[in-house]
Amino acid sequence: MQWQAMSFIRERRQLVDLERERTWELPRAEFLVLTQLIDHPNIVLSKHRLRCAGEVEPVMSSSAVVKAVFTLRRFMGADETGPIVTVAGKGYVWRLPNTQPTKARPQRLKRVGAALGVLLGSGVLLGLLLLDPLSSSPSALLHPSVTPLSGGRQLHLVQVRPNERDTALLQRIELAMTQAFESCSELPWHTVYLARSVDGQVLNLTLAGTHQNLPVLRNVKISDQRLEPEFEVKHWWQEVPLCEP
Amino acid sequence: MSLKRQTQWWWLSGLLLLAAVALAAWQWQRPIDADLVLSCRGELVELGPDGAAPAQFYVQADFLLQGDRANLHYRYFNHSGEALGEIAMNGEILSVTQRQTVYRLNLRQSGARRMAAEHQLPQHMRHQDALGERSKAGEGVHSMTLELLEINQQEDQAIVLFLPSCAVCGCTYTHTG
Repeated sequence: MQWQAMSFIRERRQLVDLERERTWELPRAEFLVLTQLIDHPNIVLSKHRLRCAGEVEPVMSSSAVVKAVFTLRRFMGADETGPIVTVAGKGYVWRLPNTQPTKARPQRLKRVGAALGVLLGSGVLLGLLLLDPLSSSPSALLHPSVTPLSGGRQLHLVQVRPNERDTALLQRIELAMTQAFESCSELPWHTVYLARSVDGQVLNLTLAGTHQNLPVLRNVKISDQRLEPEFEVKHWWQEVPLCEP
Repeated sequence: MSLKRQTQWWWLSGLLLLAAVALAAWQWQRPIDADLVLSCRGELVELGPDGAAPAQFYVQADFLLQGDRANLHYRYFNHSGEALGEIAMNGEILSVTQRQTVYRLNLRQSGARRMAAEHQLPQHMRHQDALGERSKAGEGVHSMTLELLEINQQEDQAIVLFLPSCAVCGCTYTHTG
């Protein structure tokens, strides 16, 4: 009898590994266990029945059966995935891939799938509860860029929650502000946050920096109530000198 | 996969599910316990009809978030520092994220006071007042979300986003302890 890369020659009591070209003269217990399993494919044989080997009374010990299964599996290079399958609390069954009962596998797959589903669902639920990912990530709301200024200075410009409507306007304001900042003899700011209000008519500027080694913040809210607000920098720069902290 | 291993999977899944349900129940029952005071000062620049000739005001906004209660206080000043008016709001904190960076509030206006009748009021104050009036006419409350976008723990400063207005403010913060 042959299966996969194995051949069992019953009359010689030999198990041959065709792939690795190894032959094993089966000891008595291994031979009896293997023949019984092979002769009853897909039928679960209890340990007691294997001990009896077709006789009325046991002809080997329980541990001899366990050891035989172990050594047979080891020779075949397979554990639970091999043809000798352990059925918990019941015994062992000889089950080759092409001889497996058609119903057992889907049922087992269903059970495994359900268990994995519950495991995955629980994991996702735990993740949601522990990591709180439903709250928006602040970094996703911020669109930073770095603008070089003369004298090796740098200004970080951060657009907050920009949308397509605001992109061109905010870029124009950024450019105008950068040019205006160039005129500052000293610039206390390292970061400027820009946000346009949801109704589009207020430009929020928050400037963060340091002055005389102290942190400084400045918030400027520019309202332009016209239908098409422009927030032209030249109109308010003189009134709101942003060179100062 | 053997029956033994399947059983182990089931046990593991069950335990994980139980832990998730227990954690969800704990989160659901967890009382809101905020402890934050934000103080924000802003310059209000109002451009004229031609987009120029700006008028300038100042606003001092203080937010007290303690336990599950929220108190907001806006004070307005003109360019020379004269007090123009104030608006107070209070309400409840509906939710706080675990990291205590997002606060969802339900607010109602509890008071508005104009201090200098002869002066023009800043648009921000008129807008806040109108919002309060509209809320009174409707369900009596309006919602606001505060999100701490960046926190500088060394300097006790935070960049805060206010929704739904989408206003941004740099504020100093402290805890009530």
